Amino acid sequence: MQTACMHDSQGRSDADTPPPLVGLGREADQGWGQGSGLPLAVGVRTPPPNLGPLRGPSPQGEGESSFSPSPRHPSPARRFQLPTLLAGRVFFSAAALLAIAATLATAAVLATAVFLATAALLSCGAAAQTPDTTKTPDTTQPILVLPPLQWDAMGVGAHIAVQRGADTLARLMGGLTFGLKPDDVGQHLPRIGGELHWKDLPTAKGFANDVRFVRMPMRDAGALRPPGTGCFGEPSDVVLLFRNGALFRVSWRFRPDRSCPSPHDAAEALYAGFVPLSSAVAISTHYSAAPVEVVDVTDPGAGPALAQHGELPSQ
Amino acid sequence: MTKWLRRLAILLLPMLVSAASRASPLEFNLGGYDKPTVLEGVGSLRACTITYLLQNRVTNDTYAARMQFTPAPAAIPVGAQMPCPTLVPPLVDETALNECRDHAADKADCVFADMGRDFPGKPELANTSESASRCLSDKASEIAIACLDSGGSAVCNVGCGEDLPGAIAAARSRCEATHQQACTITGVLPVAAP
Repeated sequence: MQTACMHDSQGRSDADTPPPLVGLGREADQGWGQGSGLPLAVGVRTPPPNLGPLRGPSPQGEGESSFSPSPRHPSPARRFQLPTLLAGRVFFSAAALLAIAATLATAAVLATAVFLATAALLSCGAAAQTPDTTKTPDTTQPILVLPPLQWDAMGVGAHIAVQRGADTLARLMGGLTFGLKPDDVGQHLPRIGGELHWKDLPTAKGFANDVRFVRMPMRDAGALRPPGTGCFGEPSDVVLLFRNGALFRVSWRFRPDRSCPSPHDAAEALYAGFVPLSSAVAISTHYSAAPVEVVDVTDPGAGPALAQHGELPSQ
Repeated sequence: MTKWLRRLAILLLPMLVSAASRASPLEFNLGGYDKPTVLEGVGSLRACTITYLLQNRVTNDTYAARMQFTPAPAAIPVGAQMPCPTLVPPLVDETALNECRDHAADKADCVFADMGRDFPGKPELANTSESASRCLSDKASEIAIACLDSGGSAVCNVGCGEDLPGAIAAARSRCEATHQQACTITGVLPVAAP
């Protein structure tokens, strides 16, 4: 009990502290405090001070009653002998002061005591309602938020509620869009050297159709280089796959090395950007082929090649 | 003597009234200090959202699938919130799972994120619960996931809560009760999209 009350006396508890931003959904959607309805006000906020009779002067027209008689203003109708009057005034003044002091002091003490007791009860109650386990998330693993679906009232049919379009995809892919010819892709990626021509590209293994590819080191991938979150090993690469002379997939292959034993975080950070995209715009896949972590982003119109991942080119 | 007592009474009466009026600001209405100045959701009723948490058991990726429901014409809002279906159609569960499967190299990798006691030994869909993996916006505002590590694979449970601490506590306690081990919170998310 003592511990709980001391906890509350600090003015804030763990529940007051906004959690670290967790995950894509957390960062985008959390809206800390919005509608959370946390009972934070109970017992943790400082109530207005109860100064009682010691407070400053009341605003005009408040507090003091005009009905209060004052010894300085006796009723003119009263007729007293002077000694009696003086003695009476002295007695009257003393009694009045004592009465005022006693009344206000009693009221203040009682009010303060009741207030403190209530606040303590509420504080302890709030602490009791908040279990010790209610702390901020322990890890920062992202929750990958899929595009929301809008259902009819019967729960029979659904469609994607919010469409994130091709513009977002192009931004995430450094200006590349599906369907580009190798020559056009080459103009976006000057560091791969020279012009790209379909007939010059090597054939990718593991596909039923004629699929060709171009590969570049991830560190030299320019706009296709993953964002700064996490590390990736030196052998990591980016592979662009073409079918029927058109780009249909970008594949990031994260490989570990001594300086980066686990590129998982980098792969997940890249992948998190593609997951909210509508499946009508891009199909993103994250899978592991130990020790390689792969993020594939594929044109939904790729046909049978959509479900095929091919063989990972060896280093 | 009676005269003095009468005077004293006349004097004390307004003093008592005054003291009472000074004590009145206390009121012990502590909850009133945090009243919102703007009522949330007034004027725009929030449609029902059912949020599922799903897990790729191979990559340990956690997905959230939000399902928003068009209110039925006869639906009566509760506060600013439209009610969710009393019985969630199985098609909705299946669609949520399929959303995860769209992103998996192997469809069998996707499972609901609330996993039973047998899941570590038999990591398959049958050992997960679709109903415990979802939260309804008319009953909860936050959804949380708590997991433990089982040989490199995450074994998780889901909790719903009216607020962040409530959801976290629910997820953690469910995970620890199910698997009899300490669990860590790996994510929290609002049930309804902002």
